[in-house]
Amino acid sequence: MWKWIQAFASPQNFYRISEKLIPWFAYPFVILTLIGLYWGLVVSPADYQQGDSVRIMYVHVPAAWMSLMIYVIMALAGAIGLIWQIKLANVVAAVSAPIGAAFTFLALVTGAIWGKPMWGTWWVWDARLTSELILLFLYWAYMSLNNAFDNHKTAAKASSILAIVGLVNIPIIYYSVEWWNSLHQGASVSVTKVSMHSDMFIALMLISFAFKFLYGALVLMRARDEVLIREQNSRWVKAIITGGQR
Amino acid sequence: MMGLLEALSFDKYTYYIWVSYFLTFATICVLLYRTKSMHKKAITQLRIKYARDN
Repeated sequence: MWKWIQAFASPQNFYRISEKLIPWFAYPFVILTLIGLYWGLVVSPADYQQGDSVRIMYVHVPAAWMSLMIYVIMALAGAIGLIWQIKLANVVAAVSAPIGAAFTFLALVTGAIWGKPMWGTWWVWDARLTSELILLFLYWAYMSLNNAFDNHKTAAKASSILAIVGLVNIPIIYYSVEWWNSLHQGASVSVTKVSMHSDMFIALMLISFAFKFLYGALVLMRARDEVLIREQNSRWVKAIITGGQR
Repeated sequence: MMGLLEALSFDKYTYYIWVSYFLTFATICVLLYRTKSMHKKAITQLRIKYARDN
């Protein structure tokens, strides 16, 4: 397993294998999104309390889950790059940040749009909302720090430490609705219980998996370009570019 | 067709729902567009570098 990881983590092998992997993420994303949209907008019922506004959940909750998941991946990749000096781990961390920031932004904005008809306000300085906003700032700080150095190694080191320190915010976001009095509702889906209609759960899972496949495809596409730039002095990159391969 | 349009109208929440879905769609489009443009930029940048080196 370790040998396979090491082989895949070599930039040249990654570039070659990732090209074949991209369609395996892109097509499921499109298919799951279309089915998920149909399930969420047509099949699933309105909520007995929130009415049709609950349909915002099918984009808001998966976006919020993605914002947490991508941050954890980014911090873990940063830690792997820091400890084992695996170049590809630093690349994955660096290309994940803007994607994570986009999902965090989406979670905050769709949450505000859902909050207006339900709470009567777009925003409250509630623990869940505030900690999610801090997550967006952490992504921005990571990206700024990563771009502040010309040397990739120094940039990766500094930004990885920031990402690892910022991990402390993840359990705060997740448990904020339990630890503090919050206007935000508690979790309807956990490992042990699902407290919603089965059609709602199916729609939520479909969009949630669609977003995961989208993230996979985007990371692979962006990491390929980043690898080319970082390895520009290698013969294999020159062969690819001058040979006209994509 | 009319049935589908009726099913996609969500009473007083229509505006909120469609704005949310539109923003999600727009964000995904921006992410995909940025990825494509970064790819183009990387390839052009490397082609210029190798042409200059030769």
